[in-house]
Amino acid sequence: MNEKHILLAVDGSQNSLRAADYVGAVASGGPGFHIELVAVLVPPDRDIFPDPALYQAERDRRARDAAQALDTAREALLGKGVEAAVIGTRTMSCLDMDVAGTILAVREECGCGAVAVGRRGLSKAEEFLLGSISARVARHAKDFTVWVVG
Amino acid sequence: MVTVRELVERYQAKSSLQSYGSVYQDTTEFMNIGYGDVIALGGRHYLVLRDEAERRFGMEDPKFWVKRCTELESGEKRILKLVFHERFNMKIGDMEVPCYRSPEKEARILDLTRGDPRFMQGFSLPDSAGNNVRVIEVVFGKRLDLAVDAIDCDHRTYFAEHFPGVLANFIDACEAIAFLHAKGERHGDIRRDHLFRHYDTGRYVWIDFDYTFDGSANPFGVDVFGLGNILLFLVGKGIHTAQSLAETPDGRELLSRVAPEDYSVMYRYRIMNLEKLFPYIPGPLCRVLQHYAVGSEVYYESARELLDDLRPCLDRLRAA
Repeated sequence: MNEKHILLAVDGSQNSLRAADYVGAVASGGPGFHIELVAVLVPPDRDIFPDPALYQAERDRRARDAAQALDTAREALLGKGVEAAVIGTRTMSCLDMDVAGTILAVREECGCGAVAVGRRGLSKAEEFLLGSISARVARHAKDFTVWVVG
Repeated sequence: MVTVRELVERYQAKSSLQSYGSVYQDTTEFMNIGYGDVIALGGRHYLVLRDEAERRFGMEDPKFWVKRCTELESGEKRILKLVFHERFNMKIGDMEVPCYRSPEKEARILDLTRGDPRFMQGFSLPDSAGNNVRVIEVVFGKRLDLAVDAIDCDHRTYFAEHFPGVLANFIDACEAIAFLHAKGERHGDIRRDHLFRHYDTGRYVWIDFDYTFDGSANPFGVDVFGLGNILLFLVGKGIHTAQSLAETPDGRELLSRVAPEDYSVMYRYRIMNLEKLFPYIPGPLCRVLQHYAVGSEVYYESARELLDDLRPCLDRLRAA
């Protein structure tokens, strides 16, 4: 595990952009940092899109959104003075319908010492029913640091 | 060769049918299919007796795409669920969750759970237009909430004498949901009226699997929430609310002890902390319910987590 290797999970939201700004401010302050930008691609549910054409269209839209989220976050990091050479990007397909689990799996593979995520600011009821990715990442964290940026 | 009319007359007295209807092989226009009509499917014939309806809050909500039938070759009662793609918002407390009705999902779960007595049984077949029709066996049982409600005794007696058996069966039902989750499936509509107590075996049986919803951050959250609601009902032998307690002097005394964090995180009038109402309920069981309360900082993410906490509660009740 490398403390200066940071996994930054983004989804294109303002909250994940704030997380990108924070990580950029930290990582531009010294040598040795590496930032792994990750967007998790959640495929649409086939039950919700029974029409194959609509399913594919939705899948394509989500893939474009994920690519856009990576580009936007990368620009934010560059804007903070982070060198392009230390930024890696990847789009991950969601594993077992679990976005937080997918982020944690990538972290383990990369050996990142920190995971940074934005926080949506859900109510308790929303967190219960819809789930909070940042809360789940923090709950399952072991031997690494989680930065939840609100 | 036996005609459809002869088949109808085999199981239906002539006088009981006002008129002979039509034979449908294509069920697309399900609103046109009604009493006396016959649906021909997979070499079998299903005489339509009526549309099914859900009765909630004293209202009857007809489900025109669900037909109560007699299978004419066997005389058995069947429920035919015809294709009705629907999108609607499920209201849970103050929240609205977009839901979808998916025949394909229900057909998949029927296949997955074939022979498993914890789930309603049936199969699916395409009609002549390719619609995915589900042929369901009628569950020979009573809604669990009505069965518990009908136990005629006070709460203390219910909790001591009946609840351990109820909890054992409910844990079995939770295991069934955990099985679905492990297979990447959701029940989708876990409610008290979707769990039946089988008349013969006493086992609990889940029905109706055709709801689904988009829940990528917490794929099983709605199911886990539904299990908590049923557990609350079973532990309390009913739902206890601020309003119901306020109706009596004793209730108002109890209500004075209930704190804001004791209420359900979703329904702010339901009391989750039943320890305040029934102090003889063991603490570990109360703590399971409090995971669904406003005061909780950690929520269950899966049926398996709920089960891990519930099983010791049953052991403790049995040992008492």
